[in-house]
Amino acid sequence: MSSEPPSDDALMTSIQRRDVGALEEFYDRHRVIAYSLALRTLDKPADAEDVVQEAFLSVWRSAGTYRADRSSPRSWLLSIVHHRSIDKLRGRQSRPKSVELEEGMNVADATDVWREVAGRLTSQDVRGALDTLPPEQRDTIELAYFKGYTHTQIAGLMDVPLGTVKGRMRMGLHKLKAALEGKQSELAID
Amino acid sequence: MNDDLTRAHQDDLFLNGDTSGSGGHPEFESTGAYVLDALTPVEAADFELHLRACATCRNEVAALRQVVDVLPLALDPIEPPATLRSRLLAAVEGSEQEAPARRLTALPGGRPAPRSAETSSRRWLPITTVAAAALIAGLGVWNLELHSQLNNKSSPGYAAAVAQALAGGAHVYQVGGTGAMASAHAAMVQPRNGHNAYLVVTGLPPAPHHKIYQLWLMSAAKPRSVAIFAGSGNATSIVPLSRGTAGYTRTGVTIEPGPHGSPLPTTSPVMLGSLGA
Repeated sequence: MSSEPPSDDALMTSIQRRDVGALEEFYDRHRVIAYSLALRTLDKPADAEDVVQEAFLSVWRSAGTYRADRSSPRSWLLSIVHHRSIDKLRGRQSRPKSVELEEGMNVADATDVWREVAGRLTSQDVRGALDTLPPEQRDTIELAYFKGYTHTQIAGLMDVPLGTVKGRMRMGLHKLKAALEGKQSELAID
Repeated sequence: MNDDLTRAHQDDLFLNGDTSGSGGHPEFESTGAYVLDALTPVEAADFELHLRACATCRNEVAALRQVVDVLPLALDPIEPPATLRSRLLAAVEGSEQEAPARRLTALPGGRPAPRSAETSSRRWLPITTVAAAALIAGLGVWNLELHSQLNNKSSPGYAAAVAQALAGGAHVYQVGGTGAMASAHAAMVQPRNGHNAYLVVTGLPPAPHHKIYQLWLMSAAKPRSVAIFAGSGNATSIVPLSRGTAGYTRTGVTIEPGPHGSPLPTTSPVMLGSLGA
């Protein structure tokens, strides 16, 4: 019998089969990053705890809706944490479900490659990639993702047109992706 | 040319000459804001309507979302309180008690059936005295040797499944049919290491229209629902439970309203078994 720990995908399959032990292991594996994200956004430990509990409970209840071809289990969890954190920050009830990308869309290859890249990334890699961005792009992304500001609010904070904020977001994310993919290429060569 | 325009020009070149950055339409510029959750609810809803019809934006959203997914890695790790784990597990426990176990596929390795929408199963239905007494009081010890049972079973699949469980060191408990279901037989398998148990069952006809079979574990407290299934006649089904059998003394199967069953048994058991605790 293999002694290697089960993969996240294997844990998700077990969670779909109502295996509480698998949920416990999934929690143990990702509790730190989930809580860190919630706390960074909300600043209040009690609120962050509530969001993390709700997110893992949502994973338990909605495991049957998880699609392995669309995201990794960790990404799915963190997107739930992020959405609930933003909603709590803005004083909203749970948002309506986002539209799903259509099946058959030609992103499978990119997704497979990126999942391999993302699976090897470290905190240092991501921080390093963020540091390569022009400051205004990095600040825009951080204000939006980690502090929950809308693009309109960021435009006001930075005193720039709304279109500039949108452009910084999109171009900054593209630059991040290129930096991270380039970093993984270096590691592969080494 | 000021610094912002210089950087913008450089960024434009980076994006392979897409100097407009718009992909041909203004909504394209909102793709970054969308994946960063930086749109207002109304804007996000409008954008999602646009996504349904725009493959260009969908592709861009998919690409950008991959990057957003790893942003949390940049954070300093902070350990949550240890109590959060126990709170979560208590919430899961409460969630399972409020709703009957979901319908599961018959064979191991198969994907679970799609989840149905939440029903009003949180309301507590009245339980008949006969149904509760029959399950909770138990039926005594089955004294049939398991090996002889295997030899007498007509379903080779059943014999193979039980033999495999025994070979793996699992605890196996006989579960017998009652009344009109006397020809049905099952084995409750509790694998080693406390993993979730499963029921190997054969000879139960498909449940009546709009009904399902519901599997219960019993101790001194009220019965606990652990699975629902359809019945597969003479074929052998493997019914995974939502937990192990530790702490429970008896198991039973009743016929309940479909598709989600009942919070407590409402009919007399069609199968009963002792778990040897």
